[in-house]
Amino acid sequence: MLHIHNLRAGIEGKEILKGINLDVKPGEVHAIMGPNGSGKSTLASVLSGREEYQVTEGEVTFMGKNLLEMEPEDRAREGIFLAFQYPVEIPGVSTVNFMKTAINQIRTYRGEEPLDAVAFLKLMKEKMKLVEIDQSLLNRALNEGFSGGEKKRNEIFQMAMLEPRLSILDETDSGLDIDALRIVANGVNKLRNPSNATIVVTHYQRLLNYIVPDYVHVLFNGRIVKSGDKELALELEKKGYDWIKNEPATA
Amino acid sequence: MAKDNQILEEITSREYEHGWTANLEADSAPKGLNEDIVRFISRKKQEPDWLLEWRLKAYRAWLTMKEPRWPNVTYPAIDYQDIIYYSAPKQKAAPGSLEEVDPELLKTFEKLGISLTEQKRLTGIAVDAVLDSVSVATTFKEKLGELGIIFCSFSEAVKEHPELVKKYLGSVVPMQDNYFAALNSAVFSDGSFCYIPKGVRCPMELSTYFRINAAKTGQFERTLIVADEDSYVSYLEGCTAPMRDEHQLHAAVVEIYAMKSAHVKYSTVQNWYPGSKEGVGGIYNFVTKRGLCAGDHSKISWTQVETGSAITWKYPSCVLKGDYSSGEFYSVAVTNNHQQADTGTKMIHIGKNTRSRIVSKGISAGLSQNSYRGQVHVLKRAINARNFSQCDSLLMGDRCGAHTFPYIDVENSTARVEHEATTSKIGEDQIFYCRQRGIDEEAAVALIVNGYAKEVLNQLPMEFAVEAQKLLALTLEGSVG
Amino acid sequence: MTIATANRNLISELESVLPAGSKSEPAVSKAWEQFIQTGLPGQKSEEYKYAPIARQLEKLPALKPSAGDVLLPTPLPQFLSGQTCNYIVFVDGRFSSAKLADKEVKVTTRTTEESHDAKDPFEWLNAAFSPSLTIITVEEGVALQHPIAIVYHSSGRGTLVNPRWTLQLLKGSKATVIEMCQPHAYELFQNKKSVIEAGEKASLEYLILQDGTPAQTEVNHTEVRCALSSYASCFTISLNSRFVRNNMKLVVDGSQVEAHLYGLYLPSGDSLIDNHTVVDHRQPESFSNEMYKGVMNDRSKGVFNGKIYVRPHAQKTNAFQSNRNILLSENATVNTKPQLEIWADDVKCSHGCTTGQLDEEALFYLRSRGIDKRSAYAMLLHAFVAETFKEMKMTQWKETIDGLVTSRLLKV
Repeated sequence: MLHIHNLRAGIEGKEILKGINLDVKPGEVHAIMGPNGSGKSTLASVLSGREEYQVTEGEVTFMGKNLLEMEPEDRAREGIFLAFQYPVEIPGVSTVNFMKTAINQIRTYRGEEPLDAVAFLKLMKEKMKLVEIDQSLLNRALNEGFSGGEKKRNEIFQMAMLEPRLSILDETDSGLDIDALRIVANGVNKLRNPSNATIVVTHYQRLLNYIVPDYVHVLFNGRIVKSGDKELALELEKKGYDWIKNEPATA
Repeated sequence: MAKDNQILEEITSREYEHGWTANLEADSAPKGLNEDIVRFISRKKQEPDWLLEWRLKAYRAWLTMKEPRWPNVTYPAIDYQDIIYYSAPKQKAAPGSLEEVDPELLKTFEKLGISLTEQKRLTGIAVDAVLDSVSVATTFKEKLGELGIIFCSFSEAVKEHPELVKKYLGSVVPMQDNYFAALNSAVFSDGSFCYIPKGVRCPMELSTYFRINAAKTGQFERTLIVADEDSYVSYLEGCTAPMRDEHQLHAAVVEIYAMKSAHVKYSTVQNWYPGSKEGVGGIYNFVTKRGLCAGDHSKISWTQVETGSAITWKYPSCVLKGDYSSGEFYSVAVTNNHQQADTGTKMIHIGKNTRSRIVSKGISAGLSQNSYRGQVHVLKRAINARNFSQCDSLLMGDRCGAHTFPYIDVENSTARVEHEATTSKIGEDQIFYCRQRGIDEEAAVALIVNGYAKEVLNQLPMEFAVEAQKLLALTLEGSVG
Repeated sequence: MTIATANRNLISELESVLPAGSKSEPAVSKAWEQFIQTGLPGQKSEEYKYAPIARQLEKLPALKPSAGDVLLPTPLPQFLSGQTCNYIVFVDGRFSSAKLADKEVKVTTRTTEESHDAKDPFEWLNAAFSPSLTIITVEEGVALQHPIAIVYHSSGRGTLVNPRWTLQLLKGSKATVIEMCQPHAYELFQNKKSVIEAGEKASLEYLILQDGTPAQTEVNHTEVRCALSSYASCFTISLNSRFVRNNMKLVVDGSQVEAHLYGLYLPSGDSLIDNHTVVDHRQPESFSNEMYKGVMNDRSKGVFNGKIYVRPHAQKTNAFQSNRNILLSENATVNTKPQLEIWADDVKCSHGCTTGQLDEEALFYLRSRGIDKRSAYAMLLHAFVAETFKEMKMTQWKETIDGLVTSRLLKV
C-alpha cells in the first residue's frame, strides 16, 4: 500500500529525514517510536504533504501512485488521513459542515455522487456512536475551545467518517489522560480492518498497550535504526532510547 | 508562490455574473445637472410644488458643499455634469397591474432571479423593483394592503400618501446632511416607501431590488420606512448593475423612522458591478443610510453584505433618541482587485439606557483597500448607555490593505463602551487542516471565510444568507496569498 | 473673534517674535514657511479635533520666546533628589548646561537642520524657534551607569518655549532616560521636539513625567526610532497641567525590535490631556505593544488617538494596542480613536478600547471583606492605573510614581 524508499527530507534547508525505508501493507499496524527530534512528526508531515517540508531524495508511492507529487487534498482523497498532534481551531465552522464538505469533495474526486443531507446525517449518527462522541461537540465550531481530549476524539471521529486506507496518528496520545486515551484507542481499533492500515507515531509505549502494533520501528536521527514486533516497544520502555542510539541503521 | 499566482490569476479573470445589459428603451433627461434638470425630474414625476421646492433647496445647498475625501480611498474626480440624472424604461403608461408591465422588463428581473409575478410566490417576499431611476413593479401590494401596510414606489407614495411623505421625508437624513445626501435630495427619481401601521407585524419580508441598466446614468433612489408603534418589519435590499467601462454613480438615501417599541430590520446584499480586474469601470456606491429610534424601546438593526462596487462609502447609522432604544450593525465587506470599501456605522446615544452593538468583518484581497470607519457617540444625557463593537479584518495577499478608524466619544460617566479590533490572515494551518481532509484550497478558503463572517450572515433572512454565502465565495475564489 | 482671524493675528504676532536673524538660516526660514502654509489647526482639523490648541496660544498674555541663553542656578526636581544622573538642562527651551555623571555621554549642539518628515504645524513652529539642536550621544556598547535626566526650567521670562534635542544611543548601548519640567507657576506654552535614535541592539527605558501646573500648556513631539534588534520601553505619565498634547511616534525601523508604549493620564479640574500615538512598523518581524489608560475627573477631558501602521513589506509584525478609560464625574469626557492601518497580510494586530466604570462586582467583593467603599474604590482605581507603570525597571522611579498617583487618587 505505502512504499517509502530512501526518503530524505527537511525544513528550511536542514535535513531531518536521512533515508527512510518503510513498507506498509493492508491490515497492518506500524508503530514509529523515537526520542524527541528524531523526525517522527516530520515523517507524518511529509506523508500528508505539508508544504514547508522539502523532499530532497527518495520516493514514496501510495497505492502505486507517486505520493510526493500530490496536493494535500488529493492525498486525503486517495485515502491518507493524518490525525494531527495539534488539531486546528477554525472559528465559525461547525464540524458537521466541515465534514460534509470534505466527504462530498472526496466523493466527487472518486466519481461518486455527493451525499444528500439525510444520508450524511445517517452516516454521521452511525460513526458518532462508533467513536462515542457527543452531538453537541460536533455542532460547535471546529475544535474551538475544545479540551485536548475532545480535539483528539474529534480527530478519530473524522477518521471514522472519511474511512481512510491509511491513517497516520501523530502523537495522538500526547496530552491525554488515561480515560481519554482508552476512548481514542478504542475508536481506532474499531476502525481497523484487513483492507486499511495504520501508522502510530508515538514517543511512549503506553498507547501501544491499546493499539497493538504488528511492527515497531525506532526512528533516531532521521533513520529507522531498529525494527521489530511489539516486544521491541516494551524493551524500549524498559531500557530507554539511549540503548538504541548506538545501533547502526537498518538498511 | 507560483501556484498562488496562478490561483490569483484565475479569480481575477472571473466575470461579473450580472454584467449583461437589457435591451430596454429608455426615456432620459439630458446629461448634466442644473436647476432645470431638477425641475425636469419633478415635472416628469408630476410632483406637488412643495416637493419641487424641497428639491431645489437641496440642490442649492449641494452647490455650496464640498465633496468629502477620506484617507485610503482614492478615485478620480467625478464630473457631475457628465451624468444622466434621470432615465426611465419607456412604458406605455404607468402599469396598473403586472400584466401591463413591459415583458422585457419582467424578463430583466427574471434573469436576476427575481420573480415579479405573484403567481410564483415561492419566496414569500414582496418586491419593489427599481430599474435605473424608477420603480417598475411592486408585488403583493393588495395582500399587504389588507393589513394597512403601505408598500409602494416612492413616486406613488408622493401621490397617494402625501401627508406621510411630507411628514417624514428628510426627518432622519436632512437634505443638507452631507454632499451625497444633498445631491440625492435634489435629483432622486424613485425608490420605495413603506409604512407599517401601529401594532402590525409585517408577515413577509419586504424587498427592494435595484438595478442600474442604462449607460452614463446615475441612480439616486430614496427609501423611506416608517414603522409605527409596536410594529415590526424586515426589509431587504439587493443591487446589481451591468458591466460598463465608465464609473457609474449610485447615491441613495435610506431613512428609517421607528416609533415606540417598533422594530425594523434592514438587510442589504450589495453586489453592484465592481469594475474589471484592472479597475476599469464599476459603481461608485455613495450611500447615506440612517435610522431614527424616535420612540422608547424601539430598535433598528442594519445588516449588510458588501461585495460589489468599485468604491463603497456607506455608514448605516442609528440615532438612539428614545429611552431603552437599541441599534445594531452587522457588516461583512469583501473587497478584491481594485475595489475600495469605506464602511461602518454611527451609533448616536441620546436617550437613557440605550444599547448598541457593532459587528464588522472586513475581508480584503487583491489590490483592494477595506476600511471600517465608525463612531460611537454617547451624549451627555444618555445615562447608562452601552455599546459593544467588534471589528475584525482578514487580509488575503500582501498587496491589499485593511484599516480601522473607530471614533469613540463619551460624554457621560455611566456609559460602558467596548471596542475590539483584530487584523489577521487566514491561517496556513487552517487551510492545511482542511486540505488534509480532502477539501481543496478554494473551498477551504470559502469555508473559513464563511465561518469568520458567520455572526453577520446569521442575521440575514434565510434566502439572503444563502445568496450572501455564495457571493462571498465567488468574490474571493482562489485569492489565497 | 473668529478662529480664522485669530490665527492670522497669532501668526503675525509669532512672526514678530522670531529669533533675530534666524530667518537667514535656510532651515529656519523653510520651517517658518511651512508653518505659515499649514497654519494653526482650527476646529476642522482632524488631528486637533478635540484639542483646541490655538486657543491656548491666545490665552498667553504675550508671546515671548526666551530672550537668549540663560544660565540659572538649577535646583534639581524633587523627583530626582538624591539621585546621580547625567543632567541636561534646558532653560526657557534653550540648552543651558549639562552635568554629566558618565563619561560615555557627550552633549553637542549644532544648527537645526531641515526636517523632512514633519507634518504637524507645531513641529514646524518648533524648528522656526529653535535655531540650535542639542545632541546627546551615548557611546557604542556602553550600558550607562546613571540615568539621563532632561530637565526643563523656566525663568519666567519666556512664555513660548521650544526645546529641541536628539538622543543617539549608538550600537549596543543601554540607557535609562527621564524627561520632566521643574515645576513653576509661570504662564507657559512649551512646544517640544525630541528624537531618540535607538541604534542596533540598543536598549532604552524612557520616562516622560508630566506633572505641571494649571498655568502650563505642553505640546510634545516625541519620536523614538528603533533600529535592528533594539529594545524600547516608553512611559508617558501625565498627572497635571492645564493642557497637554503628546504626539508620540514610535518608528520600528528594523527587524527583531521589541517596543512598548505605556501611557497614563489623570486629568482633573478643567484640564485636557490628549495623547496621539503612532506606531509605524516599517520593517518585518518586530513586536510592539501599547497600553494607555486614563481616569478623567471633574470637568476634564481625555483624548486618545492611537495609530498603528504596518507597511506593505513589514510581514510577521505583531502589534497590539489597548486603551481603557474611566470617567469619574458626570462632566468628564473622553474621545478615543484607536486606528489600525495595515498593508501587510501576515501580521497579528489588535486593538481594544473600553470606556466605563470600575467593576461593581469587584467593588462589592472588597466591601464584603470589610473594606470601606472609599478605600475599595481607591484600591481598584489604583490597580487599574498601576498596570501602566508596572513594567518600569527603574524601581526607585516606579515607587515615586506610585506614590504620586496614589495621592492623586485618594483625592478622588
